[in-house]
Amino acid sequence: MSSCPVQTPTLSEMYETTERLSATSSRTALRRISENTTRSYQGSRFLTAQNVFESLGSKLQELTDVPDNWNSYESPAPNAKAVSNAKPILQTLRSILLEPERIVPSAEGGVAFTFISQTSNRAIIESLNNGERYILLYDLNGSSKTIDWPFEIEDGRALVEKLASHLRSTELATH
Amino acid sequence: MPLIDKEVDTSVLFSPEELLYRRVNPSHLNTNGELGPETLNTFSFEASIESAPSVNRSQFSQPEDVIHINCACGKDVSGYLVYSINVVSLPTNLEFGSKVFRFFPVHIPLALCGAHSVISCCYEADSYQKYEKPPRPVRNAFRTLLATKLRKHV
Repeated sequence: MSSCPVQTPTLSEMYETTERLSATSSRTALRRISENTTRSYQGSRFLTAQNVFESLGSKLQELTDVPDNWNSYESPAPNAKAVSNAKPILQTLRSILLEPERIVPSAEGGVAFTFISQTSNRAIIESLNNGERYILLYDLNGSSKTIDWPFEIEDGRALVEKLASHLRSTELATH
Repeated sequence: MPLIDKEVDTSVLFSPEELLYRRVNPSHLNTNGELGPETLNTFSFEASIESAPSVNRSQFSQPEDVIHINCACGKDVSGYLVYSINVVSLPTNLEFGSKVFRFFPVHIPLALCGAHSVISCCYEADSYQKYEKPPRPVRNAFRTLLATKLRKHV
């Protein structure tokens, strides 16, 4: 009785098959891990940013505790109006996750959001005690442009995007 | 020890190379160590020359006088840094519409700080140099230029 010879795979064939299967499952597993990690990274980045903005909101509120003459040049402390008017600005920054470098009292009397960048372009947004609100785009050569903060939320968002673009650019932003 | 008001002569003109000193709290610098316009007040409190930015003139003071308690209305500012700018380097002739604003130092001694001066502003064409409160864009342009021109005094 003849029997078909059993095709026993060679050791090297078995190794290649295992390798292929292993590689395929590894790639799948890696892709899944990568996708999960990306989702997790994006999620944690979003959460981190939200935490940062929560913290900035607290910092903004704390500015009402700053005393008059805080800089020794008789600048008044930020008042409730300046802080209250600064809150929608912070909300707008939060909506596009544009994080200010600091929130500080302004020597003009009020609140200032400061922005720095890898280029020589800088910016501040000020909400003053007298109700004035504006963006000041500037660079380290001293060029500057003042743009009033708009009344409409969408216009505010567009202005903040302009600020973000200014920070990425090497030229002073223009109207 | 800073000179007092009776020890200075306000009729002495500012020379172009004279230094103007200003103190800066190191915690007010940004994370790059830069002085930003938000640290400089201009003319927003009231329309009077006394609310203009304060400096000490070098003709009647040493750099360290500006961080003396007598020149800070009794506040301890000994940990502050000293920045300076030449008179000739002050930002000036800033335009807004058809108007041009000129900036210049005025010596206004305080009782315990004789070198105290302010940076004033007038219309460029005004030979009487009557104080004018400039509009916001000019004020911001001035603050920005001043912040970027002030140098840490060694």
